[in-house]
Amino acid sequence: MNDNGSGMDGWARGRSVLVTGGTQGIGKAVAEQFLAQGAHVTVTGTRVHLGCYDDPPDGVAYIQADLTWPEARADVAAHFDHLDVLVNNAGRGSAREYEQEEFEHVIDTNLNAVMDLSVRLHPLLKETGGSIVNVGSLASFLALKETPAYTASKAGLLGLTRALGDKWATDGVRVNLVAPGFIATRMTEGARQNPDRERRLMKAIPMQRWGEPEEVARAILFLASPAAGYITGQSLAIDGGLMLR
Amino acid sequence: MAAFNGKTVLVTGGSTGIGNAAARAFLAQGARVIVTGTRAGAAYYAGTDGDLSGLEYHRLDQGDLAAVAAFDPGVDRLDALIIAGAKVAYKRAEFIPETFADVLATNLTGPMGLAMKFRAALAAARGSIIFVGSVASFRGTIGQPAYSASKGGLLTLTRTLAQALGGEGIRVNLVAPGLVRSKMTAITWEHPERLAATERQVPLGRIGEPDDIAGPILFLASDAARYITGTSLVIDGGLSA
Repeated sequence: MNDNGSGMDGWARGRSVLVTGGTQGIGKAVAEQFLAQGAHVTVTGTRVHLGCYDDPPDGVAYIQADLTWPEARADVAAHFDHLDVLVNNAGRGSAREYEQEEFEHVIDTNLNAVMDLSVRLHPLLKETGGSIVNVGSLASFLALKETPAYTASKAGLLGLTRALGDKWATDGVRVNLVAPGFIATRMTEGARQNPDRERRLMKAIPMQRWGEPEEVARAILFLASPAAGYITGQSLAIDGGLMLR
Repeated sequence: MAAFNGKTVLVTGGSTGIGNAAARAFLAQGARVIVTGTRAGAAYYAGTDGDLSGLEYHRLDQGDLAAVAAFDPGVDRLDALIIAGAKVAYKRAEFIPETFADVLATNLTGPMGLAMKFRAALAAARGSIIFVGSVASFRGTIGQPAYSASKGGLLTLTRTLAQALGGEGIRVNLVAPGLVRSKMTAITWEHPERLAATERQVPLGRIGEPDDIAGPILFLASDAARYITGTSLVIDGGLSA
């Protein structure tokens, strides 16, 4: 058995897990960690087939869905009659977030879709005593001035996590958020390939390195596990100490 | 399966309550576990909620810096230092300056002394420190000025040491339990009406158990949390959500 390092193995075996945006980056690492623990994992992505991605996770069920659109959310929810864990990971940023239409588009994907999908799947999670983990960002706490929509959506996700955590606690459904710092994914590729920018960023991180998608995934598995059974409405930063400065 | 095989863990206040639950969880995962408590020997914990079997017990008053300096549990590599030892004074005693200073010595100054004492051993193992804070790390508690100040101090100490020791490969984090069933909180949970009133305020509808805190401590000490430092994790059933 793959040991996740904290002695919490076994609980995920046979559980049903949905990871939105689970084809690449953090979402893919989450899917792979759950697979390694014996879970049944479904991922969503925007492309037609899983095969349209360069190096997709192996062994997952795939649903094509651009969660920006309500019909797609309804379609995804309709695939399930049983669910233990929902990881709301799908998200996007844009270089044009000061244009109103684009601003609203990002909010739709990063925040409105999370609310809608969570509400649609809440009855199933209530049946299993399941949990939701939302993927926030350091932008849940700090301003990223070039991406106001991304920042607002991720800060909004923090508030949503708290409200849903409180609201659904009596149903036995826990809701938490992880806040990744700078993680080595496609989204940060530009910065990683620009030595000046990378040097500046690394100065801000006490651990002086990029995080790996797997390091975020393991925190998500922890929050979804029984070991976190008394934790709800909370956020956990995985940032190498970035937010300390 | 045994994630802490071959690792050494020190848990202050590991004789009862949250500290003991954490110590037993590390032991179950294969660690060598050293615990401290204030009583003369392990036998003196018979009849408490503490189970010291398999743990190396040392008597230590962590509020006494001379005792901290003299403390020698025989480690040159330490994978995790868990500071669970703490005290609280009731009936407005914490408004008396001498009592205030005594609580701060145990809950804040002593923990700093222990962190510095084991700094080299932690660096040798690229280990981590986990302070047991409290929801009182974030908000005032009307009757406990010393407890609140000490736990608030641990929060900023966590953030500062995470910056200062990060270069040595030492991670520093804090867990912030809400109300947990232990000797320290008996005043609340032993009283049925007070317990019911408290549990009504907790979204998950129940008081926490020491094991609810032990799991998160193990996670933060584990390799799974290797990119997590300077953070605090609230474990309160949603009370402060």
